[in-house]
Amino acid sequence: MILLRIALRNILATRVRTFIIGLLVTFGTALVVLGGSLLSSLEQSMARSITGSVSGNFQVYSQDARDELELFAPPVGTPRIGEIKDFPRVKSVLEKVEGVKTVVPMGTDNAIVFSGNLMDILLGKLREAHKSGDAEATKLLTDQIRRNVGLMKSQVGNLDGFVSKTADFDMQRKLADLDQAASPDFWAGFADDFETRITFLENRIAQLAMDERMLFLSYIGTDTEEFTQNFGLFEVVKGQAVPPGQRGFLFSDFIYERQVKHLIAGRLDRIREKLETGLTIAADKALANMIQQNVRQYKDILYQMDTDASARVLAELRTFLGSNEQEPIPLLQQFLAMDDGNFQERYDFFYRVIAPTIILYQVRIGDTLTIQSFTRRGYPTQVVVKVYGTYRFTGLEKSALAGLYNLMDLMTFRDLFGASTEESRIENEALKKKGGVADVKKEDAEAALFSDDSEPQEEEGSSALLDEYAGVDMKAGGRRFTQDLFDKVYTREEIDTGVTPNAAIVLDAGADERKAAEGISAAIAAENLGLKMVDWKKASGLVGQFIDVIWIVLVVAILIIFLVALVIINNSMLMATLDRTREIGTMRAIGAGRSYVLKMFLIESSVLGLGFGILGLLLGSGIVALLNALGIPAVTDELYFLFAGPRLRPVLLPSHLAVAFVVVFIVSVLSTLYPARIATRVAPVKAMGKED
Amino acid sequence: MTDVVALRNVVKNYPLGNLTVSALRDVSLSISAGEFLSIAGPSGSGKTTLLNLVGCVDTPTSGDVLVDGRNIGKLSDRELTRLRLDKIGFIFQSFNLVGVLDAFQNVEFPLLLQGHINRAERRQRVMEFLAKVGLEQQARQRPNELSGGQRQRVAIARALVTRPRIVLADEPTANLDSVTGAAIIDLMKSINEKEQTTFIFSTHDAKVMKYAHRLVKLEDGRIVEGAA
Repeated sequence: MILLRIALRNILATRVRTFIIGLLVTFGTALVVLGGSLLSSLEQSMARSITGSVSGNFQVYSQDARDELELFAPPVGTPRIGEIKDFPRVKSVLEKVEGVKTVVPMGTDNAIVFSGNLMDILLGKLREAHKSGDAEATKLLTDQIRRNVGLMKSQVGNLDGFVSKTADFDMQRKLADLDQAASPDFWAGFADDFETRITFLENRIAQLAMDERMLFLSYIGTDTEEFTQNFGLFEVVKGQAVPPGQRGFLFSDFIYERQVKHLIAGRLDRIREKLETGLTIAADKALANMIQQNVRQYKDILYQMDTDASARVLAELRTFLGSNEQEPIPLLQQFLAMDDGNFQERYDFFYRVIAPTIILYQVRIGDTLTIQSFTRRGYPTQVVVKVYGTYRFTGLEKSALAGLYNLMDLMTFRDLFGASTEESRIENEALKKKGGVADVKKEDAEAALFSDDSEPQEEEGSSALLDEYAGVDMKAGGRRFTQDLFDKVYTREEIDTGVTPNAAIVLDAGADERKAAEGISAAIAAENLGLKMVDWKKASGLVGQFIDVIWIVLVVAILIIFLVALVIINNSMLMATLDRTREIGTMRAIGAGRSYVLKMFLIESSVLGLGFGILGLLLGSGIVALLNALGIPAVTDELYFLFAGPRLRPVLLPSHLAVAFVVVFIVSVLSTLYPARIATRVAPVKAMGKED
Repeated sequence: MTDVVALRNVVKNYPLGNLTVSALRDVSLSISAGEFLSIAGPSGSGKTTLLNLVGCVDTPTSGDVLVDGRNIGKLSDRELTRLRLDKIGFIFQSFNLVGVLDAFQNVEFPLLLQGHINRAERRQRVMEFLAKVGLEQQARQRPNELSGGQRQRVAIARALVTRPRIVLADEPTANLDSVTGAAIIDLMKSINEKEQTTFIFSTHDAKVMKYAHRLVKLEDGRIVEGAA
């Protein structure tokens, strides 16, 4: 009691010192509380994002994998993670482990999809219309193609003089071709000399349009039924889910809106979204840039409209803009040069008048999609798959990371992966018999690639679906993608059997993650499954380790603060000891033991530590409560994903308070040990004599 | 009468840089219970060293110091502390009150250290001794609210409250004016007479020396007068 009083009096007597120590301790404690709360909340939200979307609670893959599994790695190359041996057995063993809900087979890969050249598409349509004798369509398409060729000519017109003087004969030939195709003579005789002239356009002009677009797609091949059922955040946005057991493709809605959608429309959508958050085109460089890009890419609108539509649209546009501009290009550019004042009405005009006349999505729901990829052996391959719709993960719709992956069935995935399924093996056998072609071994791949005589594609008669890479891949590329294949329903056994690079383990709601991990590890070892298990943090690659990095940063920051506090408290207590030598000496002379002096100092620093520690706890809790009420806004896509939504609302756990309290207590006691030890060494003699 | 303090051939040397300073050279002295003894001498004659040895806050280089029959050279720090707490009261030249405690608490402090006295008895004892020094009214005042004389009286009460066998006072009047100093010595003397407490004090004030039963004079570390 008297010690406590002495301690309190000393604390009050040295206000500056108390203030500095108090500030440090309060700030340090608040930081522990705040940081702990933020990070564990972040970890929870990340867990929600990652486990609820792609990874599940754990991922398993072959223990012989050459690369580590990184679900959110930048999409470069195919990760070489090997394959799970005998997936059906793995599934049945692991699903028996307590807490495991299910095991979902999957694999991830990247591919390229070409949008196709618009001129090619138009010419293809024209051929068809011509063949079927549809005069109206023929006329409309002819006009559109003629207009586009004219526009192409006018684009290079100003280069004409320059190019003609160069020695680039190839370029000169191209310009001559364009001149010819744009000449009135060419079109005057077009109908009569249809085959020759359309062939000329196909072979010589289409390639000059260069309006092809490539999509780089990352995708997950999985048991689509299991996936949709077990990843809680999954939801279909457009179209429908892939029917159970069937082949099919679902776009990530994020990718679909950003990359498949007409580029100008997509930009307008994004600008509108940003304007709603309070940004302005005038002030935001990125937005102004997007407007500029739209102005430059007017072609994407103009070329896609047929002549009837463009006449109608341009007329409406003149009225809308109150302009007399007769030339389509300046008129469109004028329209696309939007500013904050007119954005909304022009946006509405775009969707009301222009959008119906252009190709709003390169791939429509219900269309088929030709996906080109490289098999794991390095052969180019392609498959055709039906697009059933788009999906997103609830709450993560605006996250690029969560929207990274498109979804496809496992059979299609295996075809692209170059995996030999029973089906493709039989087909392959048939192929070999028919074409008399030996199986291409790895070392023969190059020879096969450049040889002309061993290509089976002619015999297959499937060239309509194949591009120049086709036929090289003996397994998938040579196959016919027919309606039969799209309608086929695969059995569970068929889906589970075959190449499965990795698998997600989804736990029951509320299952103990650590206990389940132990169970899974034990089962893997006991059954000799040859698997490596990683938790969602590790499986998600850098993204998941992000939280560990922040933890380290926080811990280091806290360590530094408390180290500084330790030094300062230590120093000032040491000063206090020296200041109080006489008092301590007096107490010792009167009969206070060393332990009593030690106690006196420890109590003083404990009171200091606890007092300001509690203040720090209150401060930290207050900030957490405030942040919880306000929410920390996710200002970037990455944060959106990490926060599992637009805002992070940190929650305070008793453990944060307890940890902070213990830490601050230890620090204050630790920092007093040395000064207190010095104090116990003060001799009672120091009480004697005159005051200094 | 029994000797409450006995010094036999005591030598005390202090190291001072590379030199050794001899503060006491072969000092022998017996002090009986109930004495009111003054140690006098010029500065550096060894007065304070002698008091420190008797007060068990220092130990001799050679020779024996017996306090209440115990040889302090053979006691541990813990035993010395206990001996000081139970048998010796200190009155310091600079009063040495604990600044953050009020008069009552300062006087109570040694009783708290003794540990075995209950709250009510402590209170009664503290007030009894504050009354003896005439400061019942100032019990709740802090040292900085008291005059020099009052502070020294609090210190006297603190020294006496444990009913020690010996009270040591090192120049108790040095920081006081002569009137107050005389009053303090009067107070000590009256307590000495009433309680039979042994008082040993050092001074170089001739007026203060007059009060002593016996005057021990030190010069250059040796007793030159009053050794018997």
